[in-house]
Amino acid sequence: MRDRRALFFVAAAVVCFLLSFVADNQRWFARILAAAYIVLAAASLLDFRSHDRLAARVVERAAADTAETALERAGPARPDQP
Amino acid sequence: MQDLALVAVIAVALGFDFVNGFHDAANSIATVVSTRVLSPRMAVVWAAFFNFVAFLVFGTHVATAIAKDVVKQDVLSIGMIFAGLVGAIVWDLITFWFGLPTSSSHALVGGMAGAAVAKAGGHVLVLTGLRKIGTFIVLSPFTGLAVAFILMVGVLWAVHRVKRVEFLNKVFRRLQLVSAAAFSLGHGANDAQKTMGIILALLIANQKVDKKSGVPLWVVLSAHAAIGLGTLTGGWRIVHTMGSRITKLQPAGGVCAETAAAGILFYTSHAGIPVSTTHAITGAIVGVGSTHRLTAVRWGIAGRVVWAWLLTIPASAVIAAISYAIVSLVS
Repeated sequence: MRDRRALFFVAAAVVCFLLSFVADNQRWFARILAAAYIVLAAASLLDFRSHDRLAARVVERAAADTAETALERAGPARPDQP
Repeated sequence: MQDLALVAVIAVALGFDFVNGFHDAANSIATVVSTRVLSPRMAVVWAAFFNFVAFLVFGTHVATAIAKDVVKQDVLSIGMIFAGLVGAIVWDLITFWFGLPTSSSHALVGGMAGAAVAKAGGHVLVLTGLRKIGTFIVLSPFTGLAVAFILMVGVLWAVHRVKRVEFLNKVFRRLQLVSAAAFSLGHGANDAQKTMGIILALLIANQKVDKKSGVPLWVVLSAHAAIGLGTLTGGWRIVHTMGSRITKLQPAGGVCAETAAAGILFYTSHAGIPVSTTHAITGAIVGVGSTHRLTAVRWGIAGRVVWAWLLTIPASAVIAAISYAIVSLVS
């Protein structure tokens, strides 16, 4: 899955940067805005990845818990069993 | 006869300001109403008051830009300005009927440009001025979006350990009164100045004031009074679109959206750039919604709004051009 918000921010940064060429004396404004969008895109991507990792960890933990519970329910292994 | 026509067109300009007030009132108060901080009636009174007192805070740079940076001054005439106003008012009423939050400001710029082109051809347009306005058509919603997003993330980060949600909501409801007031102040400053610009253009065209002179005080006061009265009458169809259909807002989101939009209006009013209050607040509301996730924003509604924006200048220009043709035939 991709971070659509980061992609949106990158697109916004491109638009603002392109507009800076026609903004005459407000060029600095458009460029600062483009830079801000790049920072937001990076922050959004980091946020997305940390959420992704957190979700993966939660799934892993849940799977481990389920396996542990299943083993406990099955009881101790008998020596004659493989 | 000439003076009578001048007074009549000034009255139409103030009428446009009044329409602008009730058309854009929704922008100032939509979030306050949708988060139930104020009743609709109280909200319009609140907004109208700050619309009016804006003249005490800001200069008249936007008015000067409208009067001198859209079309060349030697083409200005009563008939042309009247046709431009008709183009803007008719387009405003059409979009108001359909509940679309379009920009009265850009309708005005489109109307003026359309009427001027119909009168004397494309060479009378002031391209540097139009380029500045055109650039900020795109930049203002993007600025609103970015600033509101940053503010919202900051607020969420600052309060994320606070467990008492009810207490937080109470605090942000109070803060929303301040942010709505700031936004109304910006709205009054930027939008009332557009009418001042039109009246200034009329006065220059009729040699009532010097080409280099500023905006007379009676023009400032009457424009602010007209927009304030317009806001008092409200625009409920658009309140609904802005306040709830783009994204669902909580009081904290309302504060961030209005503060971000007010910031843009303050800056552009100071820099003499006519922008749309609608664009500013819509971008800011989308910015707040995007802090949750992009799907929290109803992009279908936002897309409809964007289409209306794109159509505003050409549509009002065409209506103004037709109006000018009719005015020329009659006079």
